[in-house]
Amino acid sequence: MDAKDILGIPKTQLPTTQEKKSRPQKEPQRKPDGISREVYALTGGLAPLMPSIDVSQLKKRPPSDEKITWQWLPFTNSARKDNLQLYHWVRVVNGVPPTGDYSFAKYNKSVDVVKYTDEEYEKYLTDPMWTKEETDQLFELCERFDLRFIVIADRFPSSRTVEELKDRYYVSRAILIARAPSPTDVSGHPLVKDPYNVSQEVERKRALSMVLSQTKHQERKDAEVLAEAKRITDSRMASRAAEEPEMPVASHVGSESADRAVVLGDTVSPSSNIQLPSATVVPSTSIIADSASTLASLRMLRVYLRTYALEQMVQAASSSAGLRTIKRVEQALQELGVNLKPKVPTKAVCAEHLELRKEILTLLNLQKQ
Amino acid sequence: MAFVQNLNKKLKDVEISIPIVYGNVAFWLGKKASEYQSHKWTVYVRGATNEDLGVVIKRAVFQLHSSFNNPTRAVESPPFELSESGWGEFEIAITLYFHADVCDKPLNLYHHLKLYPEDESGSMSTKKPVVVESYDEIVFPEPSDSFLARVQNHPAVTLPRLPVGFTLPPPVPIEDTSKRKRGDTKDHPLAQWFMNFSEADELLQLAAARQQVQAHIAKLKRQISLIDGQQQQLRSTSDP
Repeated sequence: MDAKDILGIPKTQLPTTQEKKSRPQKEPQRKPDGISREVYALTGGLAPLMPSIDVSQLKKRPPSDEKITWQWLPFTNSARKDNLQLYHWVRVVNGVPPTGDYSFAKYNKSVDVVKYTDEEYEKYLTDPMWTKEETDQLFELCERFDLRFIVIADRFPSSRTVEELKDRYYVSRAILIARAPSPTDVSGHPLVKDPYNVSQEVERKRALSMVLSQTKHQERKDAEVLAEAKRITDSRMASRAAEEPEMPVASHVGSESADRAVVLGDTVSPSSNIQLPSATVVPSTSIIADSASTLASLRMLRVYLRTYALEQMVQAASSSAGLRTIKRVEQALQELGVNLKPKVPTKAVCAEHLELRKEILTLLNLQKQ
Repeated sequence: MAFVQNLNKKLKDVEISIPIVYGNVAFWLGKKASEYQSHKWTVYVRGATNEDLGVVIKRAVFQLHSSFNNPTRAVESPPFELSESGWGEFEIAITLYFHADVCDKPLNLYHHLKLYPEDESGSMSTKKPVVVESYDEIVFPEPSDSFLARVQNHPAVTLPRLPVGFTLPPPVPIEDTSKRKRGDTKDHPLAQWFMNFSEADELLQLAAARQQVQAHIAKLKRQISLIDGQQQQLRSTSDP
């Protein structure tokens, strides 16, 4: 119904302003009396939907003086070593094709691998572990593969580790220093600034692979130990700062993780300072380690409840057992008529209780076989 | 087993433990009960054999439900107990502060106040209270010399056998108790309701259980070695 209005109004807007004047006069006349003005406006009646653009008013692109054509022309690429000629569309201005190299040629970057002469080799680079041929091969591969040592190691005819190759490559550093008229000239060069330390690199990569290949279980344990150590050091700071006991802290007061490590002695246990192959710990030694570390941390508390101590020891003993096993131990205890938590937890009773639990664990393990 | 009696005056491998019992006794007020005061209860910490804990504990702080006036109640001398009246059951945190030569860190206990009998059908009586007690032991793993000297003969305290050659300084004479208010709970008005905790029963239970388990283990081990032996035999006969 109002399509005519929608279409009609823009149409009349285009030509002259005279008609614009008459249009507003038309609008009040058109307004129907039946429905309100707002509703009518809602249906798109009176006001135009969009500010219409007068095409003729738009700025025209200034007519350029140049004549543009597009031509199918051959080109060469300076980045290529052969003289391959390919064709592509070229924007020709006034009959003059563009000059200059192929625009993508500048992206062909390569590494400056040091090249030594035979004399220099004799003077500086002879090494009992490496023949001249091998060294030459290495440098050639370095240049070919832009110092990508993983690839170079793969392509190298005799098997050498990546670290060994890198180490050998770094002898070129020696050449640079030798060639340079004075040390200061060359000290800015990246090769000279950061020397390569083979043993450190080997160690670093080994440690990294160990961290990456940790099982989830080990990760959780490490996180727990670190959190525990942090809590202990934090509360130790807090207890040092406090003059008197304002907040009751019944547990986790005391030593740093270093003390625990001392008490543990030779047992392998992850500490925050040393990166040990914790992934290789055998389950049985870890139980002993857990119990020993629990005992140590208990001793570090100034005061604790016997029931708390028992809980900790039970947890330590069953740390390697899954939830199902723990449930089965509790079931066994109930079948034997023993309280899950002793009613009279004296030292003797707790000791017996712990031993019983351990024996049940042994029994369950045997039954699995 | 060697210990070092160093200038720090702390002993290793000698631990002091204090057997305690903590819990509550609650009486239904019967006719006198109102909606908000249906029970009269007492929460306490006592020596397991009703000895005076004041030798070790300086004060006990009972943290009650926030609906009570001044919910933090400190008791400065033994017997360490607190009586109130109310209708609700809630967890009470008991913080024990020790004497300076004992330990400078407090210890927390938690007790769930029980007013109503377990057996819901059982009628409540004004004469017989509901009693819930828990046994535990406070352990001091590295007690100081002075602490040890002070308590070496006190009945509330359990000392292990002291290492050979170890001599304690002479015991400090215990104060004349008649001058101070009694701290032990032997003649406490509620003493008739206190429970008895004996480790003998539990020890027997545990010993019997361990025997059973050990027997099972031995049987299984025999079976396993039999099977292994048989496997060995089979393997050796099948080899050419």
